[in-house]
Amino acid sequence: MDTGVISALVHSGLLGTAVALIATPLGVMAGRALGWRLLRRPALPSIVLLGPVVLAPFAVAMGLDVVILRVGIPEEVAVVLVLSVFALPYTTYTMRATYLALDPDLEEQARVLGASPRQARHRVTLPAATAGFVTATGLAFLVGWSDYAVTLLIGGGQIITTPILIGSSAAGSGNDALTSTLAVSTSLPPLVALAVFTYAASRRRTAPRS
Amino acid sequence: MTPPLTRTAHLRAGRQSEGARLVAPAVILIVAVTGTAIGAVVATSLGLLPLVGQPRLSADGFTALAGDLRAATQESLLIAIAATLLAAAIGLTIATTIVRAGHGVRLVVALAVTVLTVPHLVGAAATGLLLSDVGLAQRWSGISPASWPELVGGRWPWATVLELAWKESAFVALVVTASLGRRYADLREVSVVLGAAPRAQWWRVLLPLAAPALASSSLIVFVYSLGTYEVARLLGRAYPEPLPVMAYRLFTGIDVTARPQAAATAVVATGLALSAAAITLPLVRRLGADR
Repeated sequence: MDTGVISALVHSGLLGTAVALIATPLGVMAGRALGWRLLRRPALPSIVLLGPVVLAPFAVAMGLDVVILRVGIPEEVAVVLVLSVFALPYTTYTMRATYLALDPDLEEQARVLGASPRQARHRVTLPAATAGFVTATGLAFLVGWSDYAVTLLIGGGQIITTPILIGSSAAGSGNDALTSTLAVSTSLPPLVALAVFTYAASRRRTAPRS
Repeated sequence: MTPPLTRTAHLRAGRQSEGARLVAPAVILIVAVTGTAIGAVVATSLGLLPLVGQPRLSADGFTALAGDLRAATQESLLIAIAATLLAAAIGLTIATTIVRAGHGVRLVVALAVTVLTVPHLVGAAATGLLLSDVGLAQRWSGISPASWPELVGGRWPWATVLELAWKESAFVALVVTASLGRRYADLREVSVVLGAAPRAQWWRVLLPLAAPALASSSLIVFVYSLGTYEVARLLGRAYPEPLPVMAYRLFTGIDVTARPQAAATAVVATGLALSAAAITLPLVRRLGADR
């Protein structure tokens, strides 16, 4: 593999990580509010949080490209922001389902036993929500890792990730071997991560549960 | 154990302000980014944000290429409807297999999750290598390149539809399976005791239970297929092109005066997706998605 491919893999990894770092915590917070019914009127926030699913990424990227050109926001920041917005429905609704299955009373019991609100969240609720949390993080990472359209439009050829390399190779070069190599090297890392997580989860599941 | 009423009310008030604080960052980010972006797209399409020259309100963005815009809309709708129907049918079949079969279920679920992690672009590149007139399928089948059907870049968007249906059927299958859960096993047992044949179990128990998840996941597949760029870009032909491909070509072309037309194309695609959501969501609600 030449250095171009490795640096593209690194860029893809960084993009996925940045998107996960923004979309996962925000999704955990919003999912907690929706799953535990902490809102008096949940209808409007629920629709807004699902909204990006309906919007075409290329349309949002196009609009933001027009704006950042005038305002002077760096392209990298704009790409991460747009992709985080498109990752939020996945993280929010994964965590909503996770919180729905968790009993809020557990956290309250920890409070009664003297834990601070922060301790109760971090020591009681989050460990119980690990599977959902990892799924949400993985989904957010994949949004950044596998994006093509937004990176291409806003990045304008300056941000080279592996999908960008695949796109140019598959569209123009006719080099099937290169296209296939790139495709495999893009698909493998998430698959390996998924396999490791599934294995770890199945090991945990065999442990006795209360 | 019921706490006194005043304490419950106090707790509830505290919880609601906590809820608002919790959703605020996500909601603000989404509204700020999509609001700014869609606002800019609409303004550009109406000639109010030109790259060069004076802003001037006009509908030229929509009318200058009206014929192309109509052809692209038809192509996009064709792709999205065909891909959605296929993905829903295959996804429901896979979900039925998963909830009915005892053995090998985890393998099917693992395969579906694997398909989900593969980027659409990789799927499109692989589909091209498989189905083109010099692709793997042609070489394996022994049919000459000349008589191989035009699946990639031909008159009909076969390859585009097949790629979308392949990946999205896994998504539909997982969403539907997750929504069925324990309830299906319980209700099916009851229906068997009451003498329902396998066909009746599917029609009267599985399908009604799966309907809300099937409808909402189909809506997601439809709007995704309307808005996706890379699949049709790699596997479709040059004309007619679907809306996202047309918008990209106009937006990134050297003719900067074509930007209102590019934005108008994006507005049409967004309008179609929003209309589809507005039409389908009441249906999803009536099917009982809130259960």
